[in-house]
Amino acid sequence: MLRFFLLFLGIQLSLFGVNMLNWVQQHAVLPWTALLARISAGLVTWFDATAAAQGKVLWNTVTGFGVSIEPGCNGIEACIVLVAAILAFPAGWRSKLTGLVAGCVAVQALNVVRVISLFYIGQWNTAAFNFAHEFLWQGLIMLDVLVVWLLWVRRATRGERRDDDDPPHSPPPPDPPAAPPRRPLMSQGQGVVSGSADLSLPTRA
Amino acid sequence: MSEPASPSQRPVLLRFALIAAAGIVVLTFAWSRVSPWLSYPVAALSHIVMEQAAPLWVRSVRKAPGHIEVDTAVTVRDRPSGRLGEVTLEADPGRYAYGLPIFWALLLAAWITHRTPGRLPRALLGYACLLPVQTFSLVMYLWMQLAGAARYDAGVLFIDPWQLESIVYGYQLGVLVLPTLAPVLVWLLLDRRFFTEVIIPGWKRRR
Repeated sequence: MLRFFLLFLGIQLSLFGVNMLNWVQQHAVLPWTALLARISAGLVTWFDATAAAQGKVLWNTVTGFGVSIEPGCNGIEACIVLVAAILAFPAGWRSKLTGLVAGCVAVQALNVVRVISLFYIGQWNTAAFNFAHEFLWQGLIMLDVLVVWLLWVRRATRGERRDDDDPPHSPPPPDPPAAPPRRPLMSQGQGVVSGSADLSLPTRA
Repeated sequence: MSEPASPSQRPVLLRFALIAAAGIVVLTFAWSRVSPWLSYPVAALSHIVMEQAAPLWVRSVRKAPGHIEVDTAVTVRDRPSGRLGEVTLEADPGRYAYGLPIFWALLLAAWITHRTPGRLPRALLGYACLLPVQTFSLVMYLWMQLAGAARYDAGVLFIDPWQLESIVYGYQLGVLVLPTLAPVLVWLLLDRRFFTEVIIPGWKRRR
């Protein structure tokens, strides 16, 4: 458990530092944030023709109300936490890769729900918007990360147990070479010294 | 053959998630009503940390439930008027303390779904464990305000550029990640029985 925590914190802090680099912000974070706004606007316009996206802002063309998707709202920090948790947990790389892809999709999907819900809550009530934006959705997104990770851990460890339990499908290994002839034991059967390298007691032929 | 999840265990995680989500909604709302008092220790700890870590910056600190105000000794020039003035920082100590209802919701959900004992001691212990993290977030938020007032000029703040970079990094970490991550980590540490018995039975024994 301690190893997991230390590894998790190391990966988390490193990825977060990388995320803050100007180059990463310009070439990955901001384009992703703009794409998130467009995805949110695309979904909203299915049932609300007054919504539009401009850069990282999702806004209502009639009322003028808009929400700007800023760092902390684009789900990247939540994905970093999930990535660090999956990478730090002892599991196979195929399992980790599946968890990373499916987990990040799940986190970003809920984040789109968050952006859209805040867009409408903000048009309804400013106090409710502040509460939902500053406190409530932060906790729910992290709960999403936790649940996704717990699901992945259960699946990964179950797969590992299955690997442990299943008999191997490959042909059985060849018989070990015959043991070299042992020196005769002392006649009294006491003071026996093993002739094998692993210090196991010698067997009587 | 694959080991199937037992029928009683399969919905535990779903129930846990739903109860935790509902708990976060209810407890966060309840916490927002009493946050000024619950987060007062955060203000008190922040006062101590700022005086110990950066005594040159702090002239005086005033605390009240839901409010902390720091008079600094850092002088900056006001751009429009050109006048010099000392920076005063203000914050709500509960602004980044909303991890407490998240932690309590996780504890509650684990108790309802798995009946793990020792809820009240863990709830209080978790509250105490979260205070240093919340203090870190608040101090970083105040120092970032100060750095912003100084227009990110390390010379004005009497510090090295790497220290200014550290404040920026610490602020991002303390504001964007730690308020929600810390309660989850504290819950995993304090409620290991739920994790090892429900999520991965036997993992702890094997690792």
